Amino acid sequence: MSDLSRLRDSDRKVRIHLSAYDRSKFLGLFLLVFLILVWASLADNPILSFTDGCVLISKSKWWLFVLVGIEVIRQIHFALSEILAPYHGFWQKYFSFIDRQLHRLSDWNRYRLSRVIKVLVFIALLSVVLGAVYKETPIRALFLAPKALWSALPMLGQLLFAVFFIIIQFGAMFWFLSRGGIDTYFPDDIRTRFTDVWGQDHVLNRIRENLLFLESPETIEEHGGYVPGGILLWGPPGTGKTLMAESMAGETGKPFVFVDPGAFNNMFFGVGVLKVKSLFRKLRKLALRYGGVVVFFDEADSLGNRGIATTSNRNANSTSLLNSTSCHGGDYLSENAKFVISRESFVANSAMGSGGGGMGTLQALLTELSGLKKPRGFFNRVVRRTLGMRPKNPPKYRILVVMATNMPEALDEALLRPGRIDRMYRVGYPSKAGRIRTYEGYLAKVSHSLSAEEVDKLATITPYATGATIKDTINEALIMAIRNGRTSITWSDVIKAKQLKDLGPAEDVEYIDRERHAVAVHESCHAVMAYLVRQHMSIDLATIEKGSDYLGMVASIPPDDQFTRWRTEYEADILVSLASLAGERMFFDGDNSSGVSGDLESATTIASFMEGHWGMGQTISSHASNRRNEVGSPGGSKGKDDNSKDLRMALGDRIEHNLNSLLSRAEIVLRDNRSKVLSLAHALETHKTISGDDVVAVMTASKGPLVDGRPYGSNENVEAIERYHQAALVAHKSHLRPEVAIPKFDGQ
Amino acid sequence: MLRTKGTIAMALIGVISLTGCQSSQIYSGDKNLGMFVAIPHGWKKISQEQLHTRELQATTVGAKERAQSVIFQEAYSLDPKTSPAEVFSIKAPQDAIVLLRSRYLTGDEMNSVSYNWLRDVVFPLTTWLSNPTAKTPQYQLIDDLENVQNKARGVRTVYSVVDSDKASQTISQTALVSDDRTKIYVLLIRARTSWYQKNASIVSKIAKSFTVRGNK
Repeated sequence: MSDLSRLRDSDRKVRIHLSAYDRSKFLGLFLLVFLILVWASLADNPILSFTDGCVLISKSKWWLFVLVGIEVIRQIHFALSEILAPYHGFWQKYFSFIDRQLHRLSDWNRYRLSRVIKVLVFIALLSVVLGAVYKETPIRALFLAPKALWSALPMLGQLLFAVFFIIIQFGAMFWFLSRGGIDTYFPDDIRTRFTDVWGQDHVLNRIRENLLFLESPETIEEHGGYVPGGILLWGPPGTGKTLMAESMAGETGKPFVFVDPGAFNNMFFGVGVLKVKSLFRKLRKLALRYGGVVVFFDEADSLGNRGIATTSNRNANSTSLLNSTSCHGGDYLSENAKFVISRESFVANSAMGSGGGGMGTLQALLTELSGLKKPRGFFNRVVRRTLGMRPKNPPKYRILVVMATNMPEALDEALLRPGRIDRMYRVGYPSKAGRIRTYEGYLAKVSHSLSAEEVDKLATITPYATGATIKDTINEALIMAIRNGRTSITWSDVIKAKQLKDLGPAEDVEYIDRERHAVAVHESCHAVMAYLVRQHMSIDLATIEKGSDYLGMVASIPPDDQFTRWRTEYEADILVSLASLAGERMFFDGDNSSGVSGDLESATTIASFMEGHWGMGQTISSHASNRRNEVGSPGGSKGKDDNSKDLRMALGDRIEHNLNSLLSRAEIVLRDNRSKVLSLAHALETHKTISGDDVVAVMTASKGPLVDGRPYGSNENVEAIERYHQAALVAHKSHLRPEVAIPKFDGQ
Repeated sequence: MLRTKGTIAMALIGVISLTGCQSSQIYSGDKNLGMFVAIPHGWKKISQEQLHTRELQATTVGAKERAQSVIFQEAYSLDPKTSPAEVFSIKAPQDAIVLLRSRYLTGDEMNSVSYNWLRDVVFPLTTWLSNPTAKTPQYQLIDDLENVQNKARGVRTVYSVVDSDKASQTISQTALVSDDRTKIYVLLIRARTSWYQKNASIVSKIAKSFTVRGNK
């Protein structure tokens, strides 16, 4: 196959043949110029014959023949290069030698040198032209030029005003619009260092490596490699992506260009494109001057894409599902299950479309990112090409592009290909060690009385805490301490701050008795089920204090950092979700509230994925793949006559079947633990909010931090609770106040 | 392909060979003034500066004013030794002389300009014709033709006159005035009559090439 490929220029023995047009274009041009000059002389002198005109012009415009001579020599040179390999080889070697000599200078010096030469050539040409105009020597004419320019200024001014007045309105407007949004920082402008970023050491090490390559590119280029030119930092919000970029700016010895997320959003078509081009012009200049440059696009998803949905409303959709007004349905689920639900909700609700700068901005950015090796400059591309010379390749612009986003799926696929973005690093939630380090870092800035064990425990019960949330929690704890007349943070302050951040401020609403009991039973069903069947999560807290968008909730946390999920774990999640429905029906004689809606949605979504995607159901094939390939739902194919509705029902039937089975299991579990559910509901009604340890205390009839669970081990007390429940049930049916007051036990 | 190359090569050779050639005539005149004349090769030019310097030395009435009002003038002679003084002399020249000249008319001249006035631009021909006296030199009017051009009009008069040294000279005098009566254009060809008679065709060719197109 390679034999059939077109030879590279360096592989050719002789020069490629010029076309007849290329061979004759300049001679034709000179001939044309000559004839025009003859025509002009004939027009000037009516008694002049054509022949005499030709003779006179050939004598007065002798330089034209000098140019013809040069062009003829050039064409002879080309012709010989096309025929004689040794001749061509000699010149190739000669030019290579010259090129090598020139490249001994640094790129920036060559750039400056070429600028100086171009300016000198321009001045020389100008002086020759002026000399011809003034009929003076070129040097003298050059000194006469300012005088002539001065005298012509009024006219030139009028002319320029006329021209510019027309375009200045647009030009100025676009110029102003294309300003801003791009800030350049030079080494030592920023004080942040890698040591200021905690809990993301694995990503920092990779970034440090990239910076080292940028600082010393020869370490990889000498071995045939190239410096990776693009890094994408992606991950949840608040995990330190921007801080990481800031630390890069502080660590690197190269200029750091910060691009605002909104820099490319503009009112007018084309301004974004201008900005992109202007940005990369600046980057290339900085890269040459300083030997490299880092450019950082914060919130890179604002660049948009060319077809996939952007997720401007993603959070709203996902939270609306998880935070339905009834029970805080999502919080007892694992983070993974929450992600699945929110993703599905996002896909279902978001519309197709592009976002970001739009109007060619993204395309311009793609072109600039991959177009760095193209010949650039008017002289290089146009003049050299016109003269039959190949444009010189540009020097290596060492530009490190860093992008950060929490929505990588919103980025255009073409943006992420190697060559543009070579490395993608997930800046995830910090590990436990990272969280401890982060807590220690922020706690070191305030006065506190937390022991190392308490910090460790804090890191354990905040598994998905990010740098931002940790900072916020510590600050909230400090506010609580100050509110209570202290300046030192205690363990209690931190826990209360965490609850406040997790749940939001309680609305201080008093339920009527029967509704309070119903909410308590609902949440205790979740809690009891979670305690009994779910081993991969621990209950963090349970509450029936009404929040802004929930009536009560059971929040859970994973005791360990776990990255794989299993069928039994998802089933446990579904059981916890369905516990509310099963419990309400069991404790309220088959009745149930609308508060289970969020739970059912969560359970159904997880069950759908188990059945259709994760191989945790009755069939094996993936529903996602089948849907993409339009072959119907897994297990649902009934031949050509089936329509898609039938296929979907086949999958839906199995999901329903699974949910029914799990609901039955939940009913059995709750029936077997009826007294525990009512005991926990009693504890919730009594204390409103209890911790996970208190839940355990009730379940094991032991003493907890807040709740003394020992009275719940007494049959007498359990019976009292049962009587209270029956009274509440009657009140529920008749919409009256319960006739039996909530029992009170010693020590509570 | 070969044909194209051949054509270009031929054109180039043709153009380049032109540089070795000489034009067929000397083209004199001023393109800004729009006055042109073609002189055969071999005539020596007497420059405007030489003529101007000489004219300023004249002592006749109004000579200096006339010299100052000259816009363009050039003279050609077959004899390289011909001096500017001979150009302005009324005596018969040793060899043929061509004078091409244009100047602004004074206010009085503008008012009095006529074809006769143009005929009298060198010698008072019309006075000689209408009122011959004993002092009138021996002369012969050979030709008198109206000459109308694009932006000027006048007469071409050919006559011979015998000077005080008994030498006869023939003068071909073309005098045109611009349509706006501000400028006069003169082509004067003077030679000894014997030479003139032998070379009448050359003189005629020079006179016919005299073209006035006026200012651009």
